[in-house]
Amino acid sequence: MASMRNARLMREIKNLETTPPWGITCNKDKEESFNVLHIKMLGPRGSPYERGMFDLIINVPERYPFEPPQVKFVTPVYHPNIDKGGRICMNMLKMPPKGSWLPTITIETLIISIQSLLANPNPDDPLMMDLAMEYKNDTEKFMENARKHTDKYAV
Amino acid sequence: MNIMQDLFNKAEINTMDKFLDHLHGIIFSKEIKNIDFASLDIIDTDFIEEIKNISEKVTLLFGRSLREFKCILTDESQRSHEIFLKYNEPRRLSVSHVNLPHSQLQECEYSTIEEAVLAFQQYINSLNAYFHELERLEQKFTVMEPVKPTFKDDYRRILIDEKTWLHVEVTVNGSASNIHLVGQSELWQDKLQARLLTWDYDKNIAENIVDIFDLTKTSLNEQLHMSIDTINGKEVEAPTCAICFCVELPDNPGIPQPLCQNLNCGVFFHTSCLYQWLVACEGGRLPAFGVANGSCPTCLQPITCSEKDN
Repeated sequence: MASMRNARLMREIKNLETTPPWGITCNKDKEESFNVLHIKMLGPRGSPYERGMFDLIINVPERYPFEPPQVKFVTPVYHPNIDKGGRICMNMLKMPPKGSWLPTITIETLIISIQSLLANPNPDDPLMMDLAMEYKNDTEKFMENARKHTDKYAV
Repeated sequence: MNIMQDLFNKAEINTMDKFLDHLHGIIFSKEIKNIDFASLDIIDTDFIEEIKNISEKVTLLFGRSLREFKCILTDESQRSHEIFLKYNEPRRLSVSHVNLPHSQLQECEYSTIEEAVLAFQQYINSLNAYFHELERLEQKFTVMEPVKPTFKDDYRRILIDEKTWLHVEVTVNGSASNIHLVGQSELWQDKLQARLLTWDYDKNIAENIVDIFDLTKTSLNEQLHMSIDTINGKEVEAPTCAICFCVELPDNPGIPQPLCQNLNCGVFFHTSCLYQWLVACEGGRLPAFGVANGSCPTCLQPITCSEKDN
């Protein structure tokens, strides 16, 4: 059990390091070996987060991949599905039947999904009600605020 | 105390036998049984005094009560070691947990903190070679088991290649014992048998392992790249499991099989990997008759999986 977790993580991390997807770099915590990963992610092009570099922290649970990793933003993000503590509201990060985590999802696909969540907020399942309302009712103002927030914290 | 006074004053108790009978009755009666001794105003002043005057070299940290605490000791190489102690009753301390290889010291009771600290400090000092060897192994190789290695674990299973691990035990005086391979690999087995006799006791364990298997840093990396290539689909010989991304695991005898009934899916899984996932979906509840039901992690069609390979 423990062996397959580490064997899988080792492959995943090596793969992330050798052929990283666009705008994503992964550093594993030396002390914590396979339990904590530090991710740096560029904001998606064409979104208000474009110029930002976002830090994420991934905690890999002991029962991975039978349990989803816990992903958090370290950098503050102005987004309807991300709260002030950096928690992310995304189906893929929760166990079924509520969520849609599957053991065939990798950390790489997870980060790419988070990157695309930045570009495509989901205001119907919000974590920040006020931002979701703003996004729905006055998208331009939301974009402007998100851009300012990104310039302030993530550039 | 009132109960005791009553006992002495009772007229009918005039012999020792009757007295003991009554005393026995009182002790086992409900009222006394339910008294929590911690709530009695017993304060062990000696113990409190010792906590106050503990030497500066020792750090004491307390849990929820004064009864459970840990001492942090440092060794010659500035590693810190934690010893969890429990206060049972005056002048009786026992060891509840310690991250060191098992020894007689853990079973003993100690009358003072100082006595326990002294005994463990000596033990820790004698283990310097042991700590050093384990650290070298962790630096040099990838440790697969234990998952979170501590100095309590006197063995390490290190990665030789993707299908083979090496099991090494380290004795308290820092020499290796019970070295054997986990997994099937004739190449490594031959090397181990041929060169184990040339073990150089002047070198440390990690260096000896490198010598035995001809492992240099570069060859270790090459092996990792080889395994990466296989998942990228360049040189796939056997299909890998879609859950653990491996073909063979050292501690899992099965090979991946197309377990999904949906003919358009055709993804391979280890029976044990799929079974564990289906159980995890049910919140960890084990299914009846060892057959788990759920949906395929790839195509989401219904799937069943039994605990053991057929």
